[in-house]
Amino acid sequence: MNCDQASSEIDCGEAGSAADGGGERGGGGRGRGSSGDPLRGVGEQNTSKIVSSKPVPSWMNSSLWSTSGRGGGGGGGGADSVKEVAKDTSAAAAAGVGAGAGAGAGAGANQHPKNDRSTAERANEYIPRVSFGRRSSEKENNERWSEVITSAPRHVSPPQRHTDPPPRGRLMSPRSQSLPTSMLFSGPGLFQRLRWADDNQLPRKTMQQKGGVTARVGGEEDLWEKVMKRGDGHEEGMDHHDSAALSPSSAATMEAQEEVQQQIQPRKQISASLSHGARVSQFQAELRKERVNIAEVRRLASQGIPDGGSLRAVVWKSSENFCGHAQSEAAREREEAAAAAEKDLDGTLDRQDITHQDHPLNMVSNSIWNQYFQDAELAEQIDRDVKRTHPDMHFFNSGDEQAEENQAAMKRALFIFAKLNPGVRYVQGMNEVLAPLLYVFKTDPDESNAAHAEEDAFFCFVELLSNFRDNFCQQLDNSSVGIRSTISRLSMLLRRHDEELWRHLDHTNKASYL
Amino acid sequence: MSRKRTLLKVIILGDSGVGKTSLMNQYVNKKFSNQYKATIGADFLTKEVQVDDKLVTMQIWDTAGQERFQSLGVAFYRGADCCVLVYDVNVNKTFDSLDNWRDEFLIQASPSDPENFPFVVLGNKVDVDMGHSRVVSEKKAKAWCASKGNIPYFETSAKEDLNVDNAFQCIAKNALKNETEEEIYLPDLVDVNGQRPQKSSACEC
Repeated sequence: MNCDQASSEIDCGEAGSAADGGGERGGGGRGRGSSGDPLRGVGEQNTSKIVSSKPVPSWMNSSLWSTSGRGGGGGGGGADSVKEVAKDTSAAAAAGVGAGAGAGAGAGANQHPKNDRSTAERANEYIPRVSFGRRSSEKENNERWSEVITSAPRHVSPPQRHTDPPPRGRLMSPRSQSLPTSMLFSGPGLFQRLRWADDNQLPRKTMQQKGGVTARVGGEEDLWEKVMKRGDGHEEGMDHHDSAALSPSSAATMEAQEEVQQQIQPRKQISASLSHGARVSQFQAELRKERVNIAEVRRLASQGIPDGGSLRAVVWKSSENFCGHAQSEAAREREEAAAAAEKDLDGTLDRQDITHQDHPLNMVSNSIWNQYFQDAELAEQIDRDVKRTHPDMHFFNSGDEQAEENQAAMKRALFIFAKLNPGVRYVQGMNEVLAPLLYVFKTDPDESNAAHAEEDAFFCFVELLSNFRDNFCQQLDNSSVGIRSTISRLSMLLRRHDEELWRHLDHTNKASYL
Repeated sequence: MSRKRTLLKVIILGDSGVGKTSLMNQYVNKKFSNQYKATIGADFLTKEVQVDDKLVTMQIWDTAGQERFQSLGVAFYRGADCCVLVYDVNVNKTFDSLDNWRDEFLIQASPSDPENFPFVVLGNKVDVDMGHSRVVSEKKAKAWCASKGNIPYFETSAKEDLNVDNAFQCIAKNALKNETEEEIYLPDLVDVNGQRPQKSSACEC
């Protein structure tokens, strides 16, 4: 299966099929170690020495970098920092792949040949268990879990111990290596989200919300049928209202998009005239259900999400099939390990990493110098655009410390994404997709959620873009999945549904011949 | 010919952040803001201008500066009457890119007479730091323009509204000149109200 195609419109389906793709590409997508412990990679990475002799731009100093082996010298200087970051990324990746491969050969070996298993089974392993609500005790969780299991649709079994972690880290353009993003993060946010598959534990506490019980994402029978139907390559989504509704192209535009979708294919009516309070309770009722039906949540969201509270953040996160934060023992351990890993770095670069043939004018693509200059350019581009992101908003551009930190968070997320997706890199406009995510998550009244806004925003950003990354990829511009054909499909759709408008736009495009 | 085309299509090209949007807005709306967002894809504004007793409408296309968008620009480039190349006098790289922007434009727009297609070069942001941070000298820029067939050159500041009107006046003039020269091709192209051939996909982008 083409890994690209595997990004099924249904998230849980995607998980299964994505793993599939990863497997077929020689396990590239699975380089996370069978235990799914991201720190394993990080630990190994520590042995490679990273230099930082010049000033590091302050925005590069971040929790996002820290596990990936941020070179020491936090105070010190800029030029090498980019290279350092680049190295970090690849080193971490290499270490991750190493760890993954090792584990794959060892413990993982008997798990990987799963190709004979049904997509649904595989998908099931990757269904995150989300708990919206008060922190549940382990016992309560177990009880609920057994309920979930007993009420689970057929073909579904509880996740097995030591299954692969979810392909969360698999972003990536088709050409990119599948780098385990998990390697890059120390913050508990992502780690915890990566937990669910590997340790077979039951839902821990996640997003806090008023009342509510343990919920499980995407357990509905009809959803399962779709997963099974589409697990191996989804249909083209344009005229399929479900798939469109399930794959918002951007959190910011999700609501608008779904609204359009709704008009094209009217579905069950949602009364837009409901009061704010009534709408909030609609959402809460849905989110409180034992098994949250993401499709239903998205349907509700198609009319907009009422302001106030954590609702928008919770809905967005759940729409991206995302588990919340668990303050578990293991997470704390990992944090400690990450901190220790950071301490171990002595901030020097092995001389052998730069060969004597390499020099600043080297144009060869694998030249460290060349890479460094390219990264510097990338960082510059991102910097320029982040400064221009919502310049009218206090949150991003007030000039105070908080706004600067928010900008820095944006830059880190975009830079890391670009490094992890060499086929896509950074494309102007990505900042506009990321910004609302960061804003909504960071302004979440629940402080324990807001504290992880950066990681969460990055995670959701990656998920969002994975749905339409082909459009960003220059090499695919003229292919059937590239931006040109997407636009011409849009044009065709528009023509079908509103010929007058289509004619007007078409006309405007050729305005020079008026 | 009874039907005169009075719409001039002008494309502004240049690296990201050199001030293309600012220049356009300063010219059309007489406003400058520090709060522009990065341009994604393309955008255009129109302005009526008087050129030698003739009233024309200038349709000014502002484009995204990132290289990624270059290959997607064909639709915007096509039919242009003048191409404005902008660089930042304080950043060497943006000047070095002019060559690339010019070549790319000629390839993608494929004007009928590439040798004489009207370009105008603007060195923007001359106000920054009272000119102390500038790295591309006027002389160097003019030399480049001369080597490319005497391209008119202006030093501008969108922020201070320096030379912006002059530059666009020149742009309009050159565009109009180009337009009249191309007028002979018009009869084939004007078909606004008539039957369009039904193409399967009209959008070429």
